[in-house]
Amino acid sequence: MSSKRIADYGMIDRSVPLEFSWDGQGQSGYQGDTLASALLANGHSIIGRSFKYHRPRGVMSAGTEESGAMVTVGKDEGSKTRRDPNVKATTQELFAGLTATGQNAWPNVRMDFGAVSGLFGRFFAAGFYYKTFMGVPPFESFSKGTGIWMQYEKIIRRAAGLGESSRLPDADHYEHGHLHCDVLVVGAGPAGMHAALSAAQAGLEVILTEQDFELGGDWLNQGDTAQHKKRVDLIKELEKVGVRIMTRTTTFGLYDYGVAGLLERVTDHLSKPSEHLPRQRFWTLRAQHTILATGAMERQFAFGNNDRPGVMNAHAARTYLNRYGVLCGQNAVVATTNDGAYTVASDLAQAGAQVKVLDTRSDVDGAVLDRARKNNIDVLLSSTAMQTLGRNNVMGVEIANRAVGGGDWRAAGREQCDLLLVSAGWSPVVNLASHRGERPVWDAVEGCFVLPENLNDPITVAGSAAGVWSDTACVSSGRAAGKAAAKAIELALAGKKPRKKTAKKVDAKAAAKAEHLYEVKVAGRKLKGFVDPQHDVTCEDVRLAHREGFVSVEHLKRYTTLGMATDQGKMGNIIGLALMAEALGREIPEVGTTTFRPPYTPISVGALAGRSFGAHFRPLRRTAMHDWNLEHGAKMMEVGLWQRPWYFPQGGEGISEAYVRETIVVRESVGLCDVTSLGKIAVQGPDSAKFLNRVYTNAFAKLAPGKARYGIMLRDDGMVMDDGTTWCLGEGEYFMTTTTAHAAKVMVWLEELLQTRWPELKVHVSSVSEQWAGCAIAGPKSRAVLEKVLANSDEISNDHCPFMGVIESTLENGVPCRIARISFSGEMAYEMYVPSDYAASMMDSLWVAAQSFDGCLYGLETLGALRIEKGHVTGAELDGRVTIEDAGLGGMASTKKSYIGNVLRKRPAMQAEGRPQLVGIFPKNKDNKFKAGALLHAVDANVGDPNCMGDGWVTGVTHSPTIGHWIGVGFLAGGYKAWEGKTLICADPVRQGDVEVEVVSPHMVDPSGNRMKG
Amino acid sequence: MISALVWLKPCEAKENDDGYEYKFSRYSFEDTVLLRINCPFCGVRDHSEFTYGSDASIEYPALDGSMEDWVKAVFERENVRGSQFETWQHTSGCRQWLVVERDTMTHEIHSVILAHSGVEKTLPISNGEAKA
Amino acid sequence: MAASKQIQVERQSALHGHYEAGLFGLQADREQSAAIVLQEVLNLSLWQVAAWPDTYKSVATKISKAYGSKKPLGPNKSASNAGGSVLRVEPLKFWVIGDTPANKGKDAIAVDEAVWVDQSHSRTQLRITGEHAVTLLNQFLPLDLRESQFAVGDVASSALHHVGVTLWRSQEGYELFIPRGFALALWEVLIEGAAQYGYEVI
Repeated sequence: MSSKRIADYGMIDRSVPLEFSWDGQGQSGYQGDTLASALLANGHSIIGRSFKYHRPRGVMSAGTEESGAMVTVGKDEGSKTRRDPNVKATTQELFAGLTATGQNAWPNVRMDFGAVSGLFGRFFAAGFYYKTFMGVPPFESFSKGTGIWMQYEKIIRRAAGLGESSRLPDADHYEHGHLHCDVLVVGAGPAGMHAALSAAQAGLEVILTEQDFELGGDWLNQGDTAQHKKRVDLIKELEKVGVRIMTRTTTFGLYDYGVAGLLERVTDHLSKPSEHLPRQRFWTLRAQHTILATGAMERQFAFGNNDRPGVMNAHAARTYLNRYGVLCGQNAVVATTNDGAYTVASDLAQAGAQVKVLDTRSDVDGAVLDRARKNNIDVLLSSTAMQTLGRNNVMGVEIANRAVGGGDWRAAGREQCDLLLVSAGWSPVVNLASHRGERPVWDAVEGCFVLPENLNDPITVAGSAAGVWSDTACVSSGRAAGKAAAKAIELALAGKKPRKKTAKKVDAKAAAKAEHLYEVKVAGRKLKGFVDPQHDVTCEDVRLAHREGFVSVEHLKRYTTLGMATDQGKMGNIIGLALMAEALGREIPEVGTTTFRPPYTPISVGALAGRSFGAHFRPLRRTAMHDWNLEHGAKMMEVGLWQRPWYFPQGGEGISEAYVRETIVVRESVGLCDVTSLGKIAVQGPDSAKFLNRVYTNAFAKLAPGKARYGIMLRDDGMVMDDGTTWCLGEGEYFMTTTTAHAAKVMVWLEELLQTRWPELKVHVSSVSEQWAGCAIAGPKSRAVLEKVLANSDEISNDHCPFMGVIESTLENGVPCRIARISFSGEMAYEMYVPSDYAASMMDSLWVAAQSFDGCLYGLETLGALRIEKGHVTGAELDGRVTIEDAGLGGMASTKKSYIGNVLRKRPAMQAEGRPQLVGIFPKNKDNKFKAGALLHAVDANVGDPNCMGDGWVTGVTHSPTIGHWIGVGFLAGGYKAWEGKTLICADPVRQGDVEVEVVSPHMVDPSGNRMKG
Repeated sequence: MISALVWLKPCEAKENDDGYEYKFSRYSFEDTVLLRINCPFCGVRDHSEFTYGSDASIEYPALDGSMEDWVKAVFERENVRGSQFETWQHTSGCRQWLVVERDTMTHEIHSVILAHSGVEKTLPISNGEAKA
Repeated sequence: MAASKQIQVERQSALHGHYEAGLFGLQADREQSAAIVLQEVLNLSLWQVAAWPDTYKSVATKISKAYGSKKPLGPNKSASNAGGSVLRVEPLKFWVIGDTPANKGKDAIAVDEAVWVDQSHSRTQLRITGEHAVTLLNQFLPLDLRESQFAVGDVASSALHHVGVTLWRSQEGYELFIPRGFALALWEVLIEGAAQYGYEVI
């Protein structure tokens, strides 16, 4: 193959030369080139090495079906961050500074030591690795089958493969986008452009997507200047009627309800894109109607060494000539089964190449032959290519011929050539409709799969995707599709269904006459023909699969990996199906085809992630005093989506010192803690009390205004769902708080109950979590702090606001607030809420007051220590498997009323004696530490017994400043009563081994509760 | 959205003499789904805005109902092939609980109404006209 | 409520300290107006009024009338006049924006007809205008915001970067109501998405 750029051909812009590199060597191309056309223009033929056998591969096509020219493309010379492996050179737009490198080869694709594996090719047939290395002798005797496979797999994976992706963080960013339109037209060839135009002219909003960077489809390959002008005018017309044209955009999948997935490549063709531009956009588009004008792909047939560089789809050579000004060879042989390839032959001959046509048919239209002769093209009828000759490039072809009218192929001499073009007809691109579950049907006349006449979805197929071939037919098919879309939308709006089209009649005579070529076989000759060059699947592999019983196309695919490479079978699937059909003695339609799945072409993972990446992987939720906390030295912690203060170190304190100090200050004086993240729900309406009484286990019917109550909610199945306090602010006016973790869930639950089960209740629930910012003021001096900050300090007196009292008041600075005297810490404590925009000013006031009592700010670590000392439950305990009795709160389950969960909580297993119950845990040796997550078991438990599950587990631990050693809470079968005075093992084998512990009541500090009530 | 793209569809299984025959018809397991739900208040929206609730045909017993009825309501479910009623909430929209009639085979949605019949009546057919 | 006292401190928005006015992104130096203009609308007043199924008609009629609509508002519609705006965000729930419940909207509605709740601090209001306002919103919102589908006065609640938000197209532009705790996170992703078109913060 001696490809080169020639003058006066092509649509490239020769005034804009582009420098790029190939395997480190400087090359040049032009604006408008693809990487493949530029490499061909520079005379390169070996572009890749095959997956398994390391065979040299060249450019095989000019589009997405490419299976040879796979390269790694980089940007920014020397930087490895922008490196994209397995890029098809045929679809990569050339830009200045592009760095392309070969893959799966060492030292390079032209001289690859890995190619020795090709010598053993006959051993590497389908299933070779599995048969050899997985659980079969001799390997199974060394170790378990899969074990040794894991070892070998590493080596095998290295030897076989494609490109390697960068291991550095992605330097680019990506985004998502949403689109809506009336009609989506996929593909901007003659049919697609006219479909878009006619739909837009019918008054519809149209989006036209094209994966290429130019509109025109096959028009771009024809080298016709008159047509070129018409194409440019058509684009102008499309713009004028308001069609949204999206180039470099692949419609990669179709989904239910007219949803399509699009990938737009924004900067992949730019040398130095702005840092503000996303590399790619992942669009979700919703269309009322979709027109598929996705075109068709030329197909080859299999013959000996048909993967050698220099073998190419016939029309690809025409594309390289007419669009890119590259003549792919000087001495071309065209092996064809149809008239189409004669146009290619003529174009090449006119450009100066020697061309010979091998036509499998014996009977060819005289006009076609005359034209060929005029161009000095030799035509051999009843002939075809049997095997390529050469080593790294095609240097010739062995020809086979047969008797006029058919019969077996037999060798018939050889011919020198540097380019072998193959055409065995065309396959319409039916992938997108196939995503919708449409089964393509076999058209025996055309020898291709086409879509059925009536599709379930509002989809119209136009142009060569519908099996329409000529330019004029494609244009009128496009126009008709645009009109059909308009009609279908009109009918759908009127609630009518479109009329069913009558299925095309099969021309039985023509079908019987049509003969399609999939493989050239010659008796007595061993020919290595490739079906799927990307995955090195040969004709023999398909037959082997058949012999071994993998006869279903789905099994064939998985066993041989046919069609599972990055081209997803675009190149070789039909040949594979035909060979399997032949082996089975059946027809292709009986064998069927595998289903195409999205994406049509590969999508980068970055595009799937969009902006949900890095700091925005999840949306951060900040409390209204977030910045205030940071300014006051908070170390933060993520709790769900929330950012919450963890601890407030002073001086050089670490967390252990900080929380111990904070806990002591709270117990001795006062501390302030941001509790904004608690869920807050306004419960309003005349039936609110009735409603609350049904959702909480304890009595709420008589909660008076100015009072708060702690409550437990169960699920329908009787397990604890959440706990919190509800404040009665007035008649039919309640303020409910939930745990941080369950805020959203509780809100949804209350809405479900009101809307689906108790529609008769006049109650509204509204989330006011974001409206109110909250601070807990805890410690013996908490009341004194509030006296200092409230406009009227009397309001907080024990008389006005006793334990569980609620007041609505005003701060010194006029900010309105609501306060409840409730305690999570076990100390006298309050929760104060102000409208969020006043959070910082509330904290300023409270902090000044607290400092006058040597108070502190505290975070989650101290909150945890305080509640563990008191044995209060939180999310770690209420994990959905816990009954109200398990949590030690059985006294809160009313016996005088009915509430959610009160029936199913009485199921026998949930009332069983030995259930795990909340306990307090002390180490026997007070110097010992233990951790949350550890298991508890009796000293004499047989831990070697796999059925020994232990007797409980630890849910929370802290070093208690009040008690002076490590303490914990957890669940233990039978609870405190069953284990009183006994020693248990707290087993934590992975982290720190066994610790002897004893069980105490969970209320480890101030069990009488006098401190908080006083 | 991404999870929606890889949501699997069921295939049809028919019992015959040899056991089960799997029919990969229009909706086979290879297909993908992205529901669009016509919310009575908001109009057609992507299902990413909605949250599935449960079986809408359950009749919950009274809070002091029998154990047997509650066990039935909470734990016993039909595994319907075909059309079934489900509750969904338009969580990122109007917060309404909906009763959606959906075909488990085809994912086709036949009808959507508000679960709260009293609220459903307040919905106008067009701006300004109440249904009832 | 306790005796009210004049509030002596300023409200502090969720974007306080993170909001910087100016031109940013691609072509930040260009002369014509930016493709996207972002503005935080401060001191939001937002009261939610919720009617009952049996009082809905009366409440909808009165509240719609109070803000200039002769007919009761349809789903996700709004009405505005000099006194403020009302948005129908749920079948029974309306948002009164830019007014206080002390005014006529509330006066006209009897106590047993509806319940009110103050949400003024619960949302951060961003106003988005400019030729690429919809492009930016549609990077995140799966809503059909085409002119024919989302006209001035229309309202839609949806999820933006996983967060429930409400979008209202007012006379001034696209008003985005973001739950306060997520405002900064969403602000950050929005300006990242806006940078490719060039944006101005005012």
